[in-house]
Amino acid sequence: MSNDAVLEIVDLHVQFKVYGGLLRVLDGVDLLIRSKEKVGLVGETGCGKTITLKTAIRVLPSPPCKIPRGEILFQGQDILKMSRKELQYFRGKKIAMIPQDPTASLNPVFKIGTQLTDAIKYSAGSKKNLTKKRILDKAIGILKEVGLPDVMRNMNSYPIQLSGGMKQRILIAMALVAELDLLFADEPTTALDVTIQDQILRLMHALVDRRQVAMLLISHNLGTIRESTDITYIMYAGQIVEVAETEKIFSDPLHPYTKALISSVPKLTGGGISPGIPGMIPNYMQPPRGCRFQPRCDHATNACMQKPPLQQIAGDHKVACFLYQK
Amino acid sequence: MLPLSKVTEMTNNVLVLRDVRKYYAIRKGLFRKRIGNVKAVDGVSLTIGEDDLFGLVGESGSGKSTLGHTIVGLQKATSGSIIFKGNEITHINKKDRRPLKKELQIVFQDPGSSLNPRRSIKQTLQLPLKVHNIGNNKHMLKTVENLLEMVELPLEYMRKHPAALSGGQKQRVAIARALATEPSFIVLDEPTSALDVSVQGKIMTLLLKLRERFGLSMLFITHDLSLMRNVASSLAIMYLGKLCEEAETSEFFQNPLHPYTQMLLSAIPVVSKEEEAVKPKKMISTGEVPSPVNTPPGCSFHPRCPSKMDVCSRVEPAIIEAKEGHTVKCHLFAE
Amino acid sequence: MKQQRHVFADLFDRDCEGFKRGLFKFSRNPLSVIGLMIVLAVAVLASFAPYIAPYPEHAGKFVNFDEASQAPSLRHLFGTDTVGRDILSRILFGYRFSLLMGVIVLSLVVPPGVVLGLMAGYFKNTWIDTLIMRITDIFLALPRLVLALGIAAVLTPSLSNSMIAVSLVWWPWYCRNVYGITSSIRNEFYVQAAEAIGARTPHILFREILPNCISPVLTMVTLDMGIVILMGATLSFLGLGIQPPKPGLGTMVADGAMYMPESWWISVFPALAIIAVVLGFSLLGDGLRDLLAEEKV
Repeated sequence: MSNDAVLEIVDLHVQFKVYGGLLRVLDGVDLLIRSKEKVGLVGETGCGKTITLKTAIRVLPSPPCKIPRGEILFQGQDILKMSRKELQYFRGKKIAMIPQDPTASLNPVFKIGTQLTDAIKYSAGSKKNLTKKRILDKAIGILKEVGLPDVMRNMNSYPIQLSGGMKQRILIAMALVAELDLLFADEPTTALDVTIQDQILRLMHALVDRRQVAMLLISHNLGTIRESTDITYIMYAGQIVEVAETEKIFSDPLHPYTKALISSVPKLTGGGISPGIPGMIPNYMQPPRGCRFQPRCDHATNACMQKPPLQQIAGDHKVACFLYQK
Repeated sequence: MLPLSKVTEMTNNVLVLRDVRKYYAIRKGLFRKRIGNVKAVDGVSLTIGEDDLFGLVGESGSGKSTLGHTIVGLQKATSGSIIFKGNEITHINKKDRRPLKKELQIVFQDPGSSLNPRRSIKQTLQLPLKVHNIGNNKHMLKTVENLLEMVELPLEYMRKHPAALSGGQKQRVAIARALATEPSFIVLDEPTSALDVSVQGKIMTLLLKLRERFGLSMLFITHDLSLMRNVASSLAIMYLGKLCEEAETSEFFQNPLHPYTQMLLSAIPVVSKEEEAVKPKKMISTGEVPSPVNTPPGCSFHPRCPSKMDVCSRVEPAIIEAKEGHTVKCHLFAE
Repeated sequence: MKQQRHVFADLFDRDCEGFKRGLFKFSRNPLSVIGLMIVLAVAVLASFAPYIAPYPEHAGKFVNFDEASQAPSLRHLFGTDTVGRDILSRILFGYRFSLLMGVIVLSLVVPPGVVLGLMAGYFKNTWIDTLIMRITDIFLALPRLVLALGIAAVLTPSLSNSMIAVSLVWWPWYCRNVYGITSSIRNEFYVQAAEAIGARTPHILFREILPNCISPVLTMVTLDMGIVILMGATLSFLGLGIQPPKPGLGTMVADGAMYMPESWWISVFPALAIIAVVLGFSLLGDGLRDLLAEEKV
């Protein structure tokens, strides 16, 4: 375990008990976020990236959800073993999340100002020196920091009166009220238009740099990840298949899935439409044995019935594929 | 990888739009007095030829979906004319509109809600056949089978309900439904936006294959310029109900003129260094995407435009033909 | 390739599993199962009343003052009333009238309510909507019991007239419920797709929108059975429903009211019978609602 690791997920297995059987979603996920690092987690719908995040924040209800193996270490302490009281110490204060859909994530019956000041009061915990004025000043300050125009008027508005981009800025503000060590962003720009996406991503990048926070950005949009992260993890069907510096993943992808994924994206330089990846994501009740991409992979061999370990190839570039086993 | 289709001589225009407008009234008060208009579509003129795949690109609030819905008759145009295969169809009555619905079809954006969850795939696909009385029961069954084959779905899916299908599969059914009456023109309203990128490829490949097989003309509504680069024969950018630029695809990407086009292009998150090189130099996106309730005076883009001039806030720019086949609506290019 | 086929076959199985899964989920909820048991028990008892009741002739004109007002015993499990009739038998026959009331009222009420709701919701913001919904609003504004009482009082008291009174008061709730669902579904893409294809209005209302209303309406019907039965009993209690000597549960409670608390069994057992059937339908309805709502997930 590295010394400056903010978040370390070790061999995480997550399962859900449903009618008909057991959904074995996450199959040994390993992830490392070091201090001040921006890490991207890329995967398509249903690959388990949101579940990974939700497990880290412990918002998955325990009866259907089972965690038979694995640890999630936040600054050395295992989040999975913490009690609710202990979690309170972290959530909102050291770890915060920017959720996916800005419209669904703000309470429609409260004004923006109210929601933001609530967040500030909560993150300050039991500190007594919070006067109303201090809270208000802090709220105004942070809204200005996220570039919200017309701050006073918007503080007095309801979410329905604001555009998607503005709401997302407010959610970012709410996440950043505390002195964070780690920021989770779950597809923060998927619901937004492309010009607004651009603005929001640059804002997040700047804020994260300025405040020296580590960030985990989850997305299915490869371009977004490429522009906003230092390290990228590629996830398929609950398994991490490749990880490297973002530049390297895109300039030199190794895993067959990564290659197929990148070539599926229509390019601005032309080149036609790629036929996509044949097959479908597996059924988690009866997932393929070993490497879960093997049924759809052109290079699959019998060896792939064993799960390939995430092995280091060069520097920080790791791949989970027998094509590259030494 | 399938190649681009080249635009043929515009002698056979399937669809011509002339200054089409769609306004929604804003009413207030006890007597619902009309106090203003939401100008969803505000004077759009374009031409789509046979075998064309015309890309209509815009963000939310641009009116692109409204335009698509107006063309297929889900909305009635407030003014202007829509000419389909030489016939004026803007204000036709319900009775005459019905046979037209065989020719002009639409595929919607969200596969999740474009199929009735309570109807089986077979019932959904049979609907267009039943409505237009195409064949008896035996014939309809055969047609449904053919449709499923066409979109590469197994025949046993007939008995399933939408909940059992994935997003990509649902969209295939939606495409099959649109093709059931052998239309000549299809409006596709963001058909792949809700799908993962690997599924997108499969659906797009299918669409292109079908287009070639049946000689379909398509109006492809989207926000994804990279996608259009690879499939469209010509495209147009829409902003707040108006077209701000239109050109053939290759010309468009070699030479994007309008400031909004350049803003869009520079905002696209791309996945390779080669693509970075072709993007216009970083145009910082500013401002919010506006709503069509309060359109700014003059050029509707001027509040966000980095190249704004004095005239832009007063006078609406005319549509100027900067090069042959390449029109742009901007004072920067006025003589 | 082998894995792919496996996935498809699995999907197919999952379809047939849908109903089984529903049953399984339902059975996980003990209250719903209890509700179902009660409703089934009442239905069976009511259907076979002439064969199960120990004294079937007591359900009609019958007097036997020798056995009047007898406390519950082995011969009369629930005792006898003031004219000597066996209360248990009368309750069993009383259930027949209760269920009959529920079934007839809801059969009269649901079709027009649903159809009007569909029309008003689909033609939202037109005169059709305004006409239907304003009339509905008038009915919704008045308390159902009071209105039903008023109507029943005007008509000659009888079982059929009480059914008419309750029906007149009940239909607007179905109209409102279906109106709400229709208004929200109306703009879904699959309805627009049907319009784009050229489907005619009756098709859209009945084959596209209506199937999506069935679950909530079914839940409402189940819950309503209990409430309609209760309202029928209330009307009978007040003398406006089932007339003596017919064995209405409400009438029976009224008969015994003045003999409380000495001859408590004359009122209490019929009251418990009413509670049981209403409870049964309520629990069943709640269970159905939970089950059908979860389907959305």
